Amino acid sequence: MREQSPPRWADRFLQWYCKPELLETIQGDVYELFYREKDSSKARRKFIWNVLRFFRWKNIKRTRSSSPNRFDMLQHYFKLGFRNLLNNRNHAIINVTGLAVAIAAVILIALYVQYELTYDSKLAKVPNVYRVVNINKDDNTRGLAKITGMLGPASSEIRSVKSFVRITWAASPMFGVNDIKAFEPNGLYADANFLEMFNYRIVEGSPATMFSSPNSVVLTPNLVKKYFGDESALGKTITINNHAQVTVSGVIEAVQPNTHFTFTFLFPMEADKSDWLVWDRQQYYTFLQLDDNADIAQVEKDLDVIYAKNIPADKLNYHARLQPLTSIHLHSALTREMGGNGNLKTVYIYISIALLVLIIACINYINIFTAKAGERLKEIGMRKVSGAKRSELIRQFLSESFVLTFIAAAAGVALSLATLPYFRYAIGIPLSANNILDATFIGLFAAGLFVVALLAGGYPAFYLSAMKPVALQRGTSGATRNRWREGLVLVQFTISAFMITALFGVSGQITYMENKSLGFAKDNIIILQIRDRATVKSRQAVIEKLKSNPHVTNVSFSGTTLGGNDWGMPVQPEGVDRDKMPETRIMVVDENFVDTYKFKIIEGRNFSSAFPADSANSVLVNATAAREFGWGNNILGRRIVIPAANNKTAVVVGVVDDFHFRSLHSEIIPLVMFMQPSWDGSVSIRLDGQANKETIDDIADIWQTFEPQFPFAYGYFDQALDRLYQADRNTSRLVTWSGVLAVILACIGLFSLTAYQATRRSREFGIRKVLGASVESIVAIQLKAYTIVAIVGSLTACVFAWYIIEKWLTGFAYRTSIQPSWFLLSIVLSVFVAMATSIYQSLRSAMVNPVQSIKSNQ
Amino acid sequence: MKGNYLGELEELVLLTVGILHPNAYGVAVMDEIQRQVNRELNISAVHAVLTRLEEKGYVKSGMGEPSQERGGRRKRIFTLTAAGKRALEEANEMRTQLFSQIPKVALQFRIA
Repeated sequence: MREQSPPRWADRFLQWYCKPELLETIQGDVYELFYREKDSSKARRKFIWNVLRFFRWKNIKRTRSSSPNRFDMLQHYFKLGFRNLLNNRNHAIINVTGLAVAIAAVILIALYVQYELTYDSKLAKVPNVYRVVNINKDDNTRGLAKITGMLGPASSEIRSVKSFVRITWAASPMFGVNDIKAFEPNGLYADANFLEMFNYRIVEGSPATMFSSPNSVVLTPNLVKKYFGDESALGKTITINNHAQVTVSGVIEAVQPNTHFTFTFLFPMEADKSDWLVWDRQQYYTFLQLDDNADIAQVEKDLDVIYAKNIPADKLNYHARLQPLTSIHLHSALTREMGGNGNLKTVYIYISIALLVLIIACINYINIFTAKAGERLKEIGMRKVSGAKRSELIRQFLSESFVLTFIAAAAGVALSLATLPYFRYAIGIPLSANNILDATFIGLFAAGLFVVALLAGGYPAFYLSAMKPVALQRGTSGATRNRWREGLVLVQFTISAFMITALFGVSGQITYMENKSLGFAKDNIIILQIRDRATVKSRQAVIEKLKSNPHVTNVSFSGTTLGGNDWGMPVQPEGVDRDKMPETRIMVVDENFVDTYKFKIIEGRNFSSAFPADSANSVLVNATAAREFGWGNNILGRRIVIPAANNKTAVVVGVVDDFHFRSLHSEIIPLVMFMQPSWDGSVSIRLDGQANKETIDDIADIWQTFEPQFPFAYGYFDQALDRLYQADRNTSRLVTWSGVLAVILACIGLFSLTAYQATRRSREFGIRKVLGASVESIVAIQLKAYTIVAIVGSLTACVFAWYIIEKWLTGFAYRTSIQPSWFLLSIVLSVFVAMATSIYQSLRSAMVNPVQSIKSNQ
Repeated sequence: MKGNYLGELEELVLLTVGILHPNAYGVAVMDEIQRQVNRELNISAVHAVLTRLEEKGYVKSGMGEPSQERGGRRKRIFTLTAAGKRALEEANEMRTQLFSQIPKVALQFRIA
C-alpha cells in the first residue's frame, strides 16, 4: 500500500487553501486515513472527500499577501478618504454634484432612447410579422403605408405567407351610452384574427368570439371607463351615430405604451360598409405573418406579381415592400403612417447629447480627483517610505474613487427619479421609471460607472504609486501632466461650445419656422368637423347663420384642413405626360376657402358664387403646379381630368400663390383645389381678433341647430398646426437644457483647474511679486492660458457644429441659413465664461501677500 | 469568544480526549468515538470541534513526533486543561443532579 499515493490535485488543493499553521496536522490526518484504507480506489475517494470537507472558513487562508492587517488598512483608507473629502469639501461637493447631474441626465435620456428602441417590441404575438407598403417605383424613399385591402386575401396564394391581418381607420363615429355622447376618432376595423397576430391583454371576453358578430365592438380600458365607469362593459350596448346598435364583445389592453397601434376600439372588418375594398383604393394597413424561412425578397416579388395581375400597368407606379413590424417606428416615414412615427435621427441626437454631457462630467471628475491626488504626493511618498506596497496604494486610491462614484451614482439616480415627471412633460412621452430596472439598463449603467471610477482613480493609483519616494517627497510630479489636464479642459470647452452653437442653430431654425410666412394666416381660425351629411346640403344656410355673429368674418367648407391632411388622388393635367407627372395633392374647398385662410391669388380669379359652374368644373392650382405642369404662361383655361370625381374635366380658373399646406419639413408640391361639396368634411371659421367665449358659445348654439344629435366639438387651427413641430420643439428644449448643463459642467471643470493651478504656482507668483510683478500682470498670466483654451476649444467646436447643424437642417425642406453670428457668439460666450470662471482664483492668488506664499511649504 | 456552554459533540470529544490521554489526536479521537459509541464522524468535523475546544480553553495542544504512516508528518496531540476537566465535571454533575430529580414513578415502566 505504501507505493500508492493520494490524488495529487486534491493534495495540492489542500496545500493551496489551508492555513499554513494547520496544514501539517490536517494533511497528516488525511494521509493517515488514506494509507490505512486497504481498498485503494476507496482510499482515493475518501481522501478527496476529506480534503473537500476540510475546505471550511476556519481552515482557509485569509490573505495571500503577507500583510495580516488588510481589513484594518481598508478601514484606514476609508477613514482617510473621508477626511480628505471633508478637507476638500467644496471640491468634493462640486465633483460629486457634477457627476450626479450628468448621470441623472444620462439616465433620463437613456430612458427615452430605450423607449424608442423598444417600440412595438411586444406587439406581435407570433414571429415574422411584416407590414406590406407601397413604395414608389421612381423614388424609393416615398410611398404609402396603406395599401389595397384586396392584397391581404390574395396573398394567401403565396406559399410562405401564413396569415394576414388588415386594419383600417373607422371614420370617427359617435358613441352613445345613455346620456354620454362623444366622437371616437381612434377606432379601427380589424380582421377577425387580429388577436392571433397581435399581442393584447384580454381584460374581458373571449378572443375566439370577439369578432364573430358584425354588430360588436372591442373596447380598450379608457373607453370602458369613459362610458361605463367601473362597471363591466361586456355585453353592454353602444349606439353608433344615433342609429346602429353594437354590443361590447370584449375589452383588450395594450401590453406596452410604446406601440404605434393607438386605437381605442375595434370593429370587426365585416362591419366596414365603405366601398374601399377595391384594387385601386389604398386604405388598409396590411400585416403578413411569414414562415420562419421565408425569403423576403421573393415574397415581395410574389406580391408584385399579384399587383400586376390585378392592377392596370399604367396605374401601377409602386412596388410592394415588406417592413418588419418593429422597424416601422424608427425606419418608416411614408405617407399615411398610422401614428406619428419616431425618427432615428432624433434618437441619435439624444444619444450623442447624453454621451457629450457624460464626457464633460467625467473629465471634470477625473481632473478634480487627480488634481487633488497630486496634492497628496507627500502622503504617497510617506506611505512608500513606511513600507506601503504599490498594490496597497493602488487599492487605496481606487477604493476612494469607487466610493465617490458610488455616491454620485446614487445621487444621480435619485435626481433622475425626481426630475422624471418634468422630463416626461418636456418631451411629451409617457416614460416610466420601471424601465430603469431593466437588466441591460442596469448592466450598462454599472459598467459605465466602473469605467468612470477606474479612469478617475486610475491616474493616481497607477501612475503616482509607481513613482520614486524621493521624487514624491520633493513634490515634483513633472510638468507634462498639466498639458494633459489642460487638454482635458480643452475637450470640455470644445464640447460645451459645440452645444452652445448647436443650440443657436436649433433655436434659429425653430424661430425661422415660427416666423416663416406660411402663405396664409393661421391664427383666429377654429375648425369644426361635419358629422351629419345633411349639414353639407344646407351649406349656404350654415354659412349665413354663422356669419350673423359679428365676430365671425368668414366661413368655409372643405374636405380637410391644412397641415398634412391633403389627399392624394390621380389627376391628369392637360398636356402632361403620364410618366412625367409630378406628385400632386388635391384639396376639396369652396369659394370662401381662399379668403378664410387669406391666400393670395396671383393669376385669374377665385371660385365665386357668381359663376355657378365653378362648383362642378373649375379648379385652382398653386404656383408650383402651374410651374411643374409645364404650362408656361398660358395657365388659365387649361384642363385637368379628375378621374376619382366622376371623371370630371375641370378648367383652371386661377393660380394661388404657394402656401405651406404641409409642415415645413416637406417641400411644397403641386396642389389642385376644386369644389366637390359631397366630399366636404370640415368647416373653417375665421374670427376677428375680438372673439371671446361668448362667440364660441354662439357658434356652438348655431351649429347645434344643424347637428342637434351630435355633441359640439371644435379645435383651434394654429394649435393643430403647431403639433407638426412638436418633435422639433422637444429637440430644441433638450438641446437648450443640455447645452446649459454642459456649460455649467465645463465651468466647474475650469474652476477647479484654476484653483489647482493657482495653489501649485503660488510660490512662483510670490517670487514674481517680490521681484516687482504687479497684480494685474499675474492675473494676466493666468487668464491668458485659459482664454487660449477657450478660443481653441470653441474654434474646434465651430467646425463640428457647422457640419452637424448642416446635417440636421437637411431634414427641413425650408430652413434658415447658417448664421456666422451663431459661431461668433458661441466663441465670445466661451471666452467670457472662461475668463469669468478663472478670474476669481487668479485674483485671489495674485493678491496674496508674497510672504505667505513663499514661506509656505506647499 | 463563544460562551462556555459545552455542546453534546464537544462533550463527547472532550471525554474522548481524556480517555486517550496522552495520545489524543484527530484520527485517534475519531476512531475512539466510532469504537465506543458507534458514531461515524468525518475527520474534518473532529478537527472543527477540537479547534473550538481549544479556543474555549478546554484542551491544549502540542506537536508530537513525526510518524511513518503520516508520511513523516507530526501529530497534534491534545490534552485536557484544568478548565476542560472542570467543564466535564460540571456537565457530569449537572446531568446527575437533574437525573436524580426525576420522580421514581416516571421511571417505572411496566412491560405490557
